[in-house]
Formats: sequence, structure tokens, C-alpha cells
Amino acid sequence: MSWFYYILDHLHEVQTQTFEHLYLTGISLILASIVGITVGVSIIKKEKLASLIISLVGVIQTIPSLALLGFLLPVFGIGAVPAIIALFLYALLPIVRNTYIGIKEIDPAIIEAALGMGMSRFQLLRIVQIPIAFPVILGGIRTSAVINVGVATLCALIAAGGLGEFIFRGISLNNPSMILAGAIPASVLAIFIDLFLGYIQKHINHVWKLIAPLIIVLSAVFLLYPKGEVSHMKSKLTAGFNSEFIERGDGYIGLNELYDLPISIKEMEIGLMYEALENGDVDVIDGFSTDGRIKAYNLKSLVDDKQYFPPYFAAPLVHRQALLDNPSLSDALQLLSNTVTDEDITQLNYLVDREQQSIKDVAAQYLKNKQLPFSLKAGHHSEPDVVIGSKAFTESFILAHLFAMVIEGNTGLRTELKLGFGGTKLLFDALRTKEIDLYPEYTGTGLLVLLQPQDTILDRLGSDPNAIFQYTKTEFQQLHNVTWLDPLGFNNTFALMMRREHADSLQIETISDLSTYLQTE
Amino acid sequence: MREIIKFEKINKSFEEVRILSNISLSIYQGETLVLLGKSGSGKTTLLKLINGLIAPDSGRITINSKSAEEQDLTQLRREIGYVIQKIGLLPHLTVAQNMKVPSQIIGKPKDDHFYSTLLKQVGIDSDLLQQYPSQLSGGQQQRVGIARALVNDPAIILMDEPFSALDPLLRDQLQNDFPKIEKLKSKTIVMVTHDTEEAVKLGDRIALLHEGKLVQVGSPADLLFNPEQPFVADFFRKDAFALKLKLTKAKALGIEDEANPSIFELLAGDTFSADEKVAAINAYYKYEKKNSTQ
Repeated sequence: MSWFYYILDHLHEVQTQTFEHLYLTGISLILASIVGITVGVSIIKKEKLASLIISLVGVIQTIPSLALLGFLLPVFGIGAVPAIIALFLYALLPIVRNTYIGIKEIDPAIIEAALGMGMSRFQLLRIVQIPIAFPVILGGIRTSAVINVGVATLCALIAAGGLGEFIFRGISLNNPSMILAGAIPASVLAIFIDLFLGYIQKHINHVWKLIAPLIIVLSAVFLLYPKGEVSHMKSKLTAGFNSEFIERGDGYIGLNELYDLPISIKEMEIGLMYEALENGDVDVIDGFSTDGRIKAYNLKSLVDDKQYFPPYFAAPLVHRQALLDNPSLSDALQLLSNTVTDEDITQLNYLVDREQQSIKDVAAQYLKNKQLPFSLKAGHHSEPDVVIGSKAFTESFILAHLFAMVIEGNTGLRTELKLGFGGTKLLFDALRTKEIDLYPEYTGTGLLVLLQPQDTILDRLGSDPNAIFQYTKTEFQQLHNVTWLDPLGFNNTFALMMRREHADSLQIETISDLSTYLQTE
Repeated sequence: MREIIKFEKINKSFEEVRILSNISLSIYQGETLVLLGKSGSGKTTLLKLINGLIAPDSGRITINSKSAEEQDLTQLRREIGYVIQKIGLLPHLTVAQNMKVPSQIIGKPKDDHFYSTLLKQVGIDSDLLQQYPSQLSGGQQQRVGIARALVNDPAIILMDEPFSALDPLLRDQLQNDFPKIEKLKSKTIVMVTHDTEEAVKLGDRIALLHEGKLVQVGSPADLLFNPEQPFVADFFRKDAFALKLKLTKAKALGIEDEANPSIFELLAGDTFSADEKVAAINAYYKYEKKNSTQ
């Protein structure tokens, strides 16, 4: 029941996010109802156009939600607007289709009688077609509503707020209570909306009677909708942080304690942050020091002058059973240890992110340059000896490919790549249960996110990379039966980034400079 | 007699199939004209030309001495009552609400008393007013359908197989009640049916159609006893009604030999005078009525 107390503790936040969620869902649903019914009605007489339009809105439905948000981002930026547009587009299909079908399926005799008594087209629509098709149309709206409550959780990734904030933070932080604090209200909301519309469907047999309750609900949402940003504070600059960074012990919370950074925060997905910074939607983002996009977008990585961020050395994290089952695995992976420099990995990231080269080619070229034996076709066996996972960003993809190519190039083992896990917790759970055998992890993440040791231990370890690695390795071995192999060499720590010209114009070089700038009136 | 509907040289095809060929026909004020024919004969198409639900390929339709093309279709339909086989009551509205629709669409609502009086005339009690169409029997529904067509007091009523979907008992009831509805007596009624018995019972005149052509127009007695073409005689003979008519009339006329197959030919031929034939039909109806009241 810890989630229950968690919700009680965070009641205000849960309320805010629930209203944000209702707001996103409600506005998009009303827009989609207006447009969807209008479109559905206007294609009744045109069968060819109707099938074209219905397939067209059907295609929208097949676009993955996150991809759709990604498409909208360059045009509409971040926040509620692109979120509402995406939800609106998703809600269209059931409403258009049900309106069309609902009216099409009316007994032709009824239409004939109505036309025969001299109804105009509009009277036919108002008195006959829409009221009779109303339960079917409302069924479409109901379907859309439930879909939208679900999809709206994803809108947290583009800083639109909503219950997704808890869910994504919870997933990345390995905190089930936090996930439930988002998931439970979201389910309740979905059930509530479904029941509400179901009630209307049963008891309100006339479409015009729907308008009154809708207006009441709408005004209630508007009146109760909390104004302001997520952080409830206005500052000179806006930060775009991903959910993991906001809540992680080694993320914004500690950073703010050390540097004092009064900045308003928009929560967004890692993959979308750079775009948002480039477009000027936000001014500061968190990122990784080896990210290829720093160079690609001409960003400035602020100097961590108080050495807040711990070291993040990348290393293969392997299930011990996999090492025992495949004795050659360890030696193959050791070929990569201490061979990848910061410059190397930054360049690899750059080639993929900016030059749009394929990850496979970039990894192969790198191994060729290093004169390491490798297999170009690695990672696609259907009955693999070793399954390799990765997180959902470029560097993790590249490392996973390097692992696969080196393993297959130097041993007889067959590998399979399972890439793009959304969050450390999911990936690590997959490793622990041996659904995957290994993945590239960072020492800092292992220590602070997965182990979460007491402050006294952290103080004792300090910022000595070696001590941290040894401590982490031992603990993982004992607690999780998982082995850290030797690090690859580079240190990909967290960094705060700004657009270069922007930072230069404000004379911000270090995080302390940023703090000073934020605090001056 | 004033000509109220006039077809002149009407042709109509659907997808290369000729439905109506060269139809010319006048319908007079106050009469009940039955368009009779088998399915596919074009009778329903001809009916729908009147209220513009279908437009002719060529030819002219005149209604109240105005060409149909000159009239606003919506306006024209509001002045013509329309009753169809499948009735077409609005399923989401009660009987009372359904009754209000025709006056509602022309913006001239009437008081509740008007509707309940009208429904009473067609044999619907006021306790059915708050029911939905699905709660009514088929016969009750069609009575409401007829009452609905009368709401705006149109001069012309079009009826497309109004009783065909009902089971035989209800059909007989409605057919018998129909001529007694006060409001209908002054109307010009154009009724489509494939049922010869219904045509003879209800029609002042019958227009018999076959494959899109008008075969004969005349009184029921004309068609029964003075068929202009063999097709007309065949049409009535083949029908079960004809057989019934033949046998019962033979009885009524005192012709004892019921099984004699030549009796109908006698009725249709010159053996009996026209007066005797009319007497035979009347005798038949009396006989039928007696049977149904027993």
C-alpha cells in the first residue's frame, strides 16, 4: 500500500496532473467531436471520398504516438498545443467512422419517409440522421475518449503535463509507487469518462441535450484547471529536463541544492529535448557529455565547476549465468575495454545523429579502424546464445552493436539485439530476469539509480572513478548476480547545455554562471 | 372533374433498363387511383415521380396545373402526404412526437388535441401516444403512418403498398377501415399495390402496369369484365382473389355448380349484362362482410 501513501503525500501534484490530463483529453475530444462529426456527415453522399477519408484518418491511427509527437514538435514546439493536436488526430478515426456508419445504417425507409414529407437536407440531418445515429456516434466518442486518456500519458514527454509525468519518472527511477500514482488516477479517469459517456448514451436520447452537460463539464475543467507551469514558478530561462533527470538523486534535485538554480522546468523526452533547445522552446537542457548533437546543434556544455556530476563510465553489464554458459563471452568483450575515448564516442554519436549514417556502418568502421575482428551481420539470430539490450538513445544503440559485432567476430556465439528499452528500470529488470544477457550501462547510473546507497557510503566513495567502479561491481555481484566487465574507457557524464550563441551572449560558461544569471533581477 | 396530376409521355430508365415507357395518365381530384402491377412493373417509380423522389428522363408531370420542374421539391412534398410500406416512423421519437414532425418542419405546430383527434380517426387510442414505434403492432404503426400523412391536410396522398407488409388479418382490417376514415374522403389518393383484391376494393379506378407500360386504365369492373387485352384477363384470373370471387359469386348468383370452371369466363363474357355483373360484385362484398362479422 506504499503507493497509497505516496499519492496522499503528493496529493496536490496528483490533482494538478489529473486536471492537466483531463484538460488535454477533454479539449482534444471536443475538437475531434466537432470536426469528426462534421466530416462524417459531409461524406455521407460521397462514397468514394468517404472511403478515402476514412482510410486517411485510419493511417493517422497507425502512426506510433511518440512518432506523431515527434512530427509535430518542429512545427508546434512543445507543451499543450502539439499534445492536443496529436490527441485530436488520434480521436478522429472512431468519431468520423462511427458518424458515417451510424448515418449510413439508418433504415432507408425512414429517410424516404422523411424526405417524402418535405424535410430539407438540414432538417433531415437535425431531426432524423444525427438523432438516430447518435448512440453510434457517441460510441465512437467513447472509444476515442478511452484511447485519449491512454495516449495523453505520453504527452508528458513533450512537457504537456498530465499523469504521464509520474509514470515516466517512476519507470526511469525504479519507483513502483510513483508509477502507480500516475497509472491509478489515469485508469480511474478512463473508467469515469467511459461511464459518464455511457450514461449519456443510455439516458440522453436527444443529441441537443448533450450540449448542456458538456458545457458544464467544460467550464468545470476550465475553472479548476491550475494555471502555470509544472514547477509553478516563472524564471528568466526555461529548462527542458527528462523525467529521469528531474527525479534522480544525481539529477536536478541535488544539482539545485548545490548550485541553487531557480529555473522553470518543462518535462520532456530525451529524444525531443535537443530539438526543443534548437527551436528556442527551452533554454537549458540536460544531456550527456559525449552526445553527438552537442557538436551537431552547436551547443555549449556548461562546465560543472563544483564537480557535482559523478563519473559515468560505460561498461558491459552481464548476467553471470551468461558468462558461465558462454566462457568465451567475457574475453571477447574485454577486447573493447579501455579502447573507446571520449573523442571516439562523441564522433560516433555525431556520425549517427547528424550525418545520418547507419549505426551498423558506424560501428563496423570503428572496429575496422581499431583492427578488431568483427562480424558485420551480427545481432540478428533467431536462436541466439546471447541477447544484447540497449537504452533508447544513440550511444546505447552504438555500444550494443559494438558488443554484438565483437562477440560474433571473435567467438562462435550467436547474438540477438533487443534495442531501445524505455528507462533504466525496465532494462535492468530484463537483465536480472535474464530476458537479455547483457547491455551497456554507466557506472554512475548503476550506483545512484540501481543501488541507491546511503549518503555515508557515497561520501566515502567521493568522486574516485575506480572506487566507485569497484564498489558497484561488488554490490551488483552480491545483490543481483550480475557482473560489471571492465569499462570501455570514456566517461559520459551528465551535462547542462545551452545554445552556444545564447550562452555566449549571457556570458555563461559554468553552471555557477547560470546560477548567478538566474538570481540577478 | 378537375385534373390534379397529369403524366405526359413519361420515360424512365435505371442503368440502361427501361422502367417506364411512354406513360400518359391523368388523375382527378378526389378519386382513389390504384397503380396495380407485379413487382418490376414500374408502379412505384411512377408514384415517386409525383413527389419528385425520382425524376423522369423525358416527359412532363403536371401537378395542380403547374409543371413539376417549376416547383420547389421540398415545398411540393410538404403539400403531398406520403405513406410507404415500411412506414418509416422515427424510432427515437414517441407516437406523439412522430405526429408533430410534419407540422414542425413547416413551422406550424398544432395543439396536442389536434393530434390525438387525428389518431382517434385512424383508430389509435390516446394511451399509445407515449409509446415508441417499436412497441406498436405493424397495423398500429401503419395507422400512425397514415395519420402522420394527414397532419398538414394535404390535397394529395401517395401510398406505396401501404398494407402489404401486414399479416392478412390486420391487412383486411385496415383495408376495411381505410375507406371510412373521414379525413381521407375528400383527398386525391394514388395507391400502389400488387394485390388485385385491394385494388378492386379500394380503387375508384385502376391503372394496370406491365413492364413499364400502361396496359389498361378504368374502373375495377372495367378491368374485371371488359379486359382490353388478354393480359388483363390473365392478370385477374391468375390471382387467388379471382378464384374466390368466381366461387362466391357463383353462389350469390344462384349458380349452384361451384366447381364449374367456366363460371369466371361467363362473368367476364357477354352472358351477363353489366348491371348483373355489378350486382354480382356487390353480392360478393355482402357475402364477405357477413362472413367476417360472424
